[in-house]
Amino acid sequence: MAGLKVLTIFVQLTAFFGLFVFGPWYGRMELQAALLAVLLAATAWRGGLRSAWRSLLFVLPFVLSLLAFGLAFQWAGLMGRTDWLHDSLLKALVFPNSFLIVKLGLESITFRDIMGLPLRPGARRYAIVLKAVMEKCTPLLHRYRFFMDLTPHFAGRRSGRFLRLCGVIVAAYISIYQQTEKTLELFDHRTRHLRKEP
Amino acid sequence: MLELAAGTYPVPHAGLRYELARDLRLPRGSWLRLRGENGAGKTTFLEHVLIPHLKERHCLLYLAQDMDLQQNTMRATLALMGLEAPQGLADLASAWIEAGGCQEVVILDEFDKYLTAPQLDALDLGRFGWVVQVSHLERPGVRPDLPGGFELSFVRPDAGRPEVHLGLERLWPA
Repeated sequence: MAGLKVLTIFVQLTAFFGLFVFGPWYGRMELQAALLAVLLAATAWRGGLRSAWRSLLFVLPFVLSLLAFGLAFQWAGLMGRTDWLHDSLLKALVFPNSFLIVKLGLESITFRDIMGLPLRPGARRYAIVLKAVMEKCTPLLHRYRFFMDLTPHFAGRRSGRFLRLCGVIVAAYISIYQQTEKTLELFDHRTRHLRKEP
Repeated sequence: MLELAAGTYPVPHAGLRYELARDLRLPRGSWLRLRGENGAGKTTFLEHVLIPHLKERHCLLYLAQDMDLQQNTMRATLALMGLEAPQGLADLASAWIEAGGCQEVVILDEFDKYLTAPQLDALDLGRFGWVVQVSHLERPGVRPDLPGGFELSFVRPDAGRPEVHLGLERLWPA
């Protein structure tokens, strides 16, 4: 059952990337927009409105950068193309769609599902640790953004916003590293010392 | 002047509504202590009321309660500035404060729990225009490094209701 569920999730993800990112529906703005609405609704249904809002806030800097580059390239008529803005708008929909669908898909795989999968012990260990680290570290991103938004260290620099974003990514990397170490240690300790009571 | 107008400040997602009866107006060289029981909403007030109001007008440094997380952003910041990030928390905080180049507002949310008294003294908080501090340590009589001392107390009359009354008291000079 767990295998079927996980397989379905990966089939859906493959179908999404096959159709909406690398396939025939990539250029269909109305379909991308509709999918974004559906994914946001699903995120809100799963984690509440606040969660959907936070997810949007997370992708917003990337989306705004895409739009800003699109506008600049369009204005400059880069490479003689006149479709830069249209292209950026599409990417500004495709990016959040990809982020939300992968997030929703991976979040729907539970620890129980992983236990039910026909995996070798080593692979199961990594899958459990990956899931635990993801669950632990995802909410931290918002906290890191809060801290970096407040930090005065890059004030007045032209690249301040970019450096703050880099700070979030570096802090997240440190966190993931620390959390992976801790979780692996905890997992190994429990498998070595804990026994199921008869 | 560090200011927050009298009024009601709702923080809906935390289920709290702060009621400040009179204007908070602190001259440069002030120390403001936030006092209240655990769960009275001091950190929520800092992060959702005071900091959003102050950050538009002042340069501020915030040392949060969850330093185990914030230290990762401190390390990242120092690394991005090409500076070395010390291992110990006190040295790290000190390096981060120095690198910030900000001398206006410093906000410490129970940061004293991570440092010894000499380490805290080494931060030289008196050089800042305003020091805002949440602390469960005993209230000092007078801080000679800061001419004005104030205390903002958080009273939640009914834990089931959102109202939090904020009362301002001058500690020194008398």
